[in-house]
Amino acid sequence: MLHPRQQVLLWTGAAAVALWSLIPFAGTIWASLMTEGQLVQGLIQWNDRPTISNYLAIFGIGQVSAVFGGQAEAIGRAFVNSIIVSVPVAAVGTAISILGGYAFGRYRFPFKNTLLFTLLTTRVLPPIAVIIPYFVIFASLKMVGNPWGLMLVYLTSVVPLLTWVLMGYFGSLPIDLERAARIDGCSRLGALWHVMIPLASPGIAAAFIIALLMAWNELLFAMVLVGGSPWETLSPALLGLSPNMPGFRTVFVMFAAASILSTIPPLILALVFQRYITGLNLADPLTSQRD
Amino acid sequence: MSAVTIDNVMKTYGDVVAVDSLTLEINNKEFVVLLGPSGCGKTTTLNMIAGLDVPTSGHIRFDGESVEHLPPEKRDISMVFQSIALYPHKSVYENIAFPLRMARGPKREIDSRVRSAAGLLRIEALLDRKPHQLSGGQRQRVALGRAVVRDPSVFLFDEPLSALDAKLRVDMRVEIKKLHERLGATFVYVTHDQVEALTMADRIAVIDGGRLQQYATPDEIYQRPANLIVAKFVGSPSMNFVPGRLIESAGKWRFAGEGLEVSLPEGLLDDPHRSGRSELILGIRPERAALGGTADGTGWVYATEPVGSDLFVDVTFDGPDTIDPRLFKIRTRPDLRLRSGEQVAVTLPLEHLYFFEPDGRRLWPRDGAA
Amino acid sequence: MAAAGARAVHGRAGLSDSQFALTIVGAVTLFNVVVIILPLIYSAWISLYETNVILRKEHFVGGKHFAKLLADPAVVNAITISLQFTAISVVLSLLIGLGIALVLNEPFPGRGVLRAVVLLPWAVSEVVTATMWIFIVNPTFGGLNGILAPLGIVSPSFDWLSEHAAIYWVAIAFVWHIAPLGAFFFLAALQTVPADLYRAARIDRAGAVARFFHITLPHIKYVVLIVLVVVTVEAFRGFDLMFAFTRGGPGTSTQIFPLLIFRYTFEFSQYGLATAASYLLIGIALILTTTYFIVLTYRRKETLRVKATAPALAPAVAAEGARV
Ligand SMILES: Nc1ncnc2c1ncn2[C@@H]1O[C@H](COP(=O)(O)OP(=O)(O)OP(=O)(O)O)[C@@H](O)[C@H]1O
Ligand SMILES: [Mg+2]
Repeated sequence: MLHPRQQVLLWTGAAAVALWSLIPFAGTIWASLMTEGQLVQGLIQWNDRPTISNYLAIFGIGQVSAVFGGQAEAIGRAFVNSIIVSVPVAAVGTAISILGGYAFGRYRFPFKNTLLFTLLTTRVLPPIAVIIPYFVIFASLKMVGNPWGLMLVYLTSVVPLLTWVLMGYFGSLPIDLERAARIDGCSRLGALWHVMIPLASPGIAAAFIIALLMAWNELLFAMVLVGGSPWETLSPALLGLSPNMPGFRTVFVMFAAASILSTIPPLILALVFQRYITGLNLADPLTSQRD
Repeated sequence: MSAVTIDNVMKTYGDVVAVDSLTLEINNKEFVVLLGPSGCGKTTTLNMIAGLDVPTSGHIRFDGESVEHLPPEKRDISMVFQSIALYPHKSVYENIAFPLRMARGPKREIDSRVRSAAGLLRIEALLDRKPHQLSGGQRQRVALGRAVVRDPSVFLFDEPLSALDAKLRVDMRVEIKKLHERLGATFVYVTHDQVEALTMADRIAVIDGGRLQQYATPDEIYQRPANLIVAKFVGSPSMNFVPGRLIESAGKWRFAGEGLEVSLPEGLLDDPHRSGRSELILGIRPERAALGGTADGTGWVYATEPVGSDLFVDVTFDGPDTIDPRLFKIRTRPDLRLRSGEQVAVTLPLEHLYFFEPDGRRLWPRDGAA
Repeated sequence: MAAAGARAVHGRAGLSDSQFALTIVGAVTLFNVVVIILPLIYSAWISLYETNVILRKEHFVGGKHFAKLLADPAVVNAITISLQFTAISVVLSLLIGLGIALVLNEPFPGRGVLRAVVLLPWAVSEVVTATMWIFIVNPTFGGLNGILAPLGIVSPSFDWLSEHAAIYWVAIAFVWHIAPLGAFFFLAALQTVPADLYRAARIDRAGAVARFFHITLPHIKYVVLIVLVVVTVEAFRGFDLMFAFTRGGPGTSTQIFPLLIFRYTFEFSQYGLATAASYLLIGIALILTTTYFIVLTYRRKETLRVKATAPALAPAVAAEGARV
């Protein structure tokens, strides 16, 4: 249907979009398959013997340079720590937000707008602005250097967003289904459990993943609350390998491999649940919500 | 088995008055139809009976006991929704079984009741399907199945047949009526389709603008509509209305409308409240007016509509060439041949006339008269 | 969880719908407010004191820190850089996000795959985003020099992250990470433009450019505003990317305001000053969002005629958080 000239334009555009999105991945992956000696010759070169030794080193396999040994091990542990922190945050955050989103999306009640606004305004706060009080308070509560403080902070930062997202999702489901469940003998929470949650499962899955990625990716709070401790998560651990970190000589290929490795779980989740995530009306559930 | 009382119930949404001072007594095992145009408050009324909406004021009672404090799940009711509302993630079997599962019935009993409900509605073959694999009529049956699988004391139906085609609607009408006989429960049935109401109901409550207009048997509603609104709404095609005034000549009173003059029935003017006012609205059903005869008026044929068994003739008294004339419908024999513009005599038998006050109240036939 | 809860509610049949909802929502909001507002109050208190870390002593100094901040050229400099970074990011995000959306809005084989690919940069953390762009712009082995130097376009070891250029590269990296979100907002909006309008415009012989400006743009202008707010808020309050990419360098050329606060805190242990600066940052962030909020409310009423049930800022504030 398109004019040939438009065809060319479209394919050029598609290629540009693909390149823009993928080249940064390609570059770092390429670097991660080199030895440090090769890399200093330049990233743009043909490498006829790609090596996965950098990845193996992170898992403690193969010969690991003495300088780097500790750091490589740290990455492996950080990986586990990130799972330990982010999965419960995402699970609890999603559970709380299901309740909040259901209440906001389904019921009229006094102060609804005020409460919603209060909840959402907390998202505009720059994280750096609360870092000192968090650090001081959590330190006095012995919640620094272990995952508790970090999980609490993550929880408060995912709940408003997920509540909002799920509010839109619940609001867009046909209300008669919930009413039917009530007639059929469910309480409010029973109807939520037996009918609304199964119907909202794509939205809930997407919400869960958004929370997971948020907790997986965050740097500042992680650095301050668990940085350098045995509970260090991936972002601060990666930063420890980066060329910006004073005091170490950076092994770039290792840095590349660790970065790629740390980003595999988010990438898989994003790919698998892409439809759910982009299907969410993240920006403006109000317009799709019938009151 | 419950009698349902709606006692002076009011429901407002902000400025919108959805239901206005509604009082309705529904007897045990009665089949009551709430009839009214779209937006008149039927669903809202049903929802309040179900406990899905809370009245702004007034009371709902089951067997004389107030149920305001009871949530829907504890009111012992079944409901079929306007939107059908099958659970899309559950199979037909699970949809029907759901109310029983919520009541924590034994597995064996659940199974046998689901199967017998499915048998009743002839959907045994569909039990493994998901709702999206069903036709509209099948979905409707499943929704009914989900309602009848328990034996609650009150069944609520919100326009359950509105999504169906004409043929299926007629079939299902009969089935629901039979269901009522078999189950012996109280049925409250909402519709805006007066044919459904007339064919199924023990009593019809005609509602308009949130207010009860008339509450009576179908026959009574049809024969003796309480006011202009009921008269307009019930009957298909709708009753003819002719506004006019009273005229006296030589001691005799007549009604004169546009192009029509009829002498008044005996006793109409005796009403003491009428003194001084002379405006009236005459009403007559299309099947009661006749072409030819003594000629209470002379009109022109505007159009004819053959419907097989009958012929409906649209007559205008405004003149043969009026654009957008007021029409007067008459049912007649299907073999009559009439041309547009042809002049015809119209006769209005005295015993089938209705008269309404300009404010809508029925004046004639008198209340209580035979 | 719900099954047990269900029975609990059975027990309290009297709980009305609004009581039920208020209980839940109240608890959720309270939890959040406590965890966020209490520290803020505490930090307000800190900002009024001078802390001596070594002696572990504090004394009240009142508004001194605020006065000091406003007179500090480093603060003015950091705010300027923050605004500059924000402005560049907003413009680029709008252009690139819209460009991506326009491509994805056309049907072509492989569109589904491309749609998934586009989301990938969004899933990556800011730390890894920084890594990836370091491998592109590094003067020694980076990909950009590796391609451009042999072609003679730049000299070998050309320093892309110079004092003048660094801010742009960080902004580009940031846009790479955040533009997908904007792209999907745009895409959702584009898909609501009635196809008939385009057909009618073709019949009226409107060219592609005219169609874009007369049909597409008016339909998505509300979303343009949303993306604007989202990117502004994120760029202004963000910390991770800049810290991982340049740490504010070279010199202080990319030292955005949050980085300066970080340095006050962790390098100079100037807690009073840092918390005071935090309040300044919050203040600016609120001014920015409120400005957009007003524009957005106005636009929303005008273009959608949707009654403003929830606060109109809410969509933007929420969407902003969708960045992970
Ligand atoms: N949640 C609500 N908020 C505001 N107004 C409402 C709400 N529900 C119903 N209404 C209004 O109350 C009136 C009655 O609505 P209801 O749904 O009871 O009508 P209905 O008789 O069932 O109509 P229909 O035949 O179209 O289903 C309507 O004017 C409707 O707009
Ligand atoms: Mg209705």
